[in-house]
Amino acid sequence: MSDRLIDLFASVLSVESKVLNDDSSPTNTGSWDSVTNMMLVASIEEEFGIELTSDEIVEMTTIGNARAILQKRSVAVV
Amino acid sequence: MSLLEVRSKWLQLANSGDVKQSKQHVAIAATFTADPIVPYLGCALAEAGNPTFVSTLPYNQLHQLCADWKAVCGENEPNTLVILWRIEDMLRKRFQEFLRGDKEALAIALNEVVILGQAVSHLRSTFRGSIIVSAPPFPHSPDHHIQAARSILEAGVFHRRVIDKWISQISRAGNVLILDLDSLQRYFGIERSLDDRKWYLYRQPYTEAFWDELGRELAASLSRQRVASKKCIVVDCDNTLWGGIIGEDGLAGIALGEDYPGSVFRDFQHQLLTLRSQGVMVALCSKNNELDVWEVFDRHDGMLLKRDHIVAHRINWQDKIANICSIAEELNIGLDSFVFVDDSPFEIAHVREALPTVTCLQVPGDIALFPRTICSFRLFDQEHISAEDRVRSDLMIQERDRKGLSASLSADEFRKALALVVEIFECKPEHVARVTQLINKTNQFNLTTRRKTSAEVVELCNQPSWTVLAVRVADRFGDYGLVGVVLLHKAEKTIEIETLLMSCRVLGRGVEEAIFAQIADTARAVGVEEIVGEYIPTKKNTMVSELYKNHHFIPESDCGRWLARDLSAFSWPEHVRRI
Repeated sequence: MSDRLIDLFASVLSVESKVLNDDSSPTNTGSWDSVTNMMLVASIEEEFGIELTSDEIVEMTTIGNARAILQKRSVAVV
Repeated sequence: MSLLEVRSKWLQLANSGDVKQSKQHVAIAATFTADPIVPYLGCALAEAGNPTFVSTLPYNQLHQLCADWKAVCGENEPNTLVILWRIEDMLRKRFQEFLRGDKEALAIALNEVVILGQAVSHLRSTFRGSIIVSAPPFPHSPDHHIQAARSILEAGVFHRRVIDKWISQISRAGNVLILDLDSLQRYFGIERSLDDRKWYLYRQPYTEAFWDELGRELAASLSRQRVASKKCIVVDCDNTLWGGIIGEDGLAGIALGEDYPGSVFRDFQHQLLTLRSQGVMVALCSKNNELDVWEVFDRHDGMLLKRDHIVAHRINWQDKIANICSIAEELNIGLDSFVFVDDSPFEIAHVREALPTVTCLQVPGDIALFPRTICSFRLFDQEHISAEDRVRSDLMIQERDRKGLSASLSADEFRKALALVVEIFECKPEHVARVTQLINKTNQFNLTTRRKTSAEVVELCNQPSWTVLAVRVADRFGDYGLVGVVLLHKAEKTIEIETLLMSCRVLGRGVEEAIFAQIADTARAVGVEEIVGEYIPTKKNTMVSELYKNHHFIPESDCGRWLARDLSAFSWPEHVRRI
């Protein structure tokens, strides 16, 4: 099943969706660095039509955390 | 395309051969994190047909970059360096002190600007490629609000003085382009351009939308270096220069003056006068009775444009396509140098269809939007306006007088009567801007059509194996200015004409002979006995396909190369005075 959030991360991080999961983070994903992190924030905001708070951006250290933030905002990610 | 799509597109492009193997590499250094610009700049350059590798340099290392660019850039050498800086970053401390009443902080800040200017001058003398620097935007920091009551008196003064000092330093460095980050940010808007979250999290001040804007502006600035701007604006009369139809409404019935809608047309005429002062020629193409149109020019007191401002006109009932083509022939410039403005959708579609290289602009239905529309196309935008540009329209009018003389005399008598004066000299720094302009906009009398940036021209001037010659021409009717460029490359036994170009206005009067005589002298001076010429055909330069054949050269092979072995065949033409 296709997962919008995973697909978005895969596209920005230039990796295949299947290598990512909710535990993916900058420590275990090579292309997730400070530069791509800025792109991830921009892409999440544009794709899901929200504006993240600074604290939410800081918390977004795994895909799972990003999913939790979006769920709290009642954004459908699947 | 959405911003998200632009970024995805760049991820693909960046891995494509076009970008990876591109010889163009733009590197960006800034006093803030600038990485988000990469996809937007990269896509804009690729879209303009100029796929380019884009990189960013370590944050806040402008001085290190200027002192030793090789150390900062590493192995992957860029050929364009972009330097972006802001008062909020580089002069933050001085700015705060100034806001708190310390007037001496301004002097210290200006000194820091001078030091950065000197660093850029040093970079200019050590880096061959193009350099673009920002004009710092109006400072907007937590220390003051842009709308605060005293903003214009405090932050405004600080900003203005810093900008003035910076621009004068940069002009002194020579051949450094300025990206006006200030006007860009004002036009886009502070609210839309700044993102405080990203500033505090990443030292990255801007919204994605502003990065996109900045990327496109930078791409346009880079492209302008190689693409010629437009030379002539051809305008219709009724409902374009004035409101209404002169043939039906009469002199008293047309709208032109202080009040709407006449004020809109008056502003359009103001725009034409400003363009004219920047070297753009203004021509008329109107389906009308000629006498009616001139009556407006001579008698309507709302007219700003005068007969003398018009370099060519076709006021008749013929097809506009034929009229525009005949104006192009009269002015001796290519159709792609033309912008055509008309209110009729039929005429616009007709010209666009038949003459696709002419840029066609239709007067908008809401006439109040007309001046802004014309402005926003920025078709005549250019970094340098040369002395030759400023007087171009006057030159065209002198040309009419010459034609009058030539009609009354034989070809030989005309040549003598013109009293031509030709000066050929080595290009000095003050000529680089004009020489570069000619290299990039001359299409017809151009043997090889090799375009170059001003940085490349400076580089050739400094190489002992190259000679960069500029040609200045005058006659009894006036000064044509700097109208020709010759780039000579000295090899062991030959001298090669890498570039030979000239404005068509001086064609066929002996200037070509004078140039070849000078090239032969240069060859003798360096002790070689053979000159190699090259002709690279394009769609536009057929007029010079026989130039070498007609000037004592013999074809070397079928590859467009020509040889001249007998230097004594070249002599300075008798009727031309040499300076």
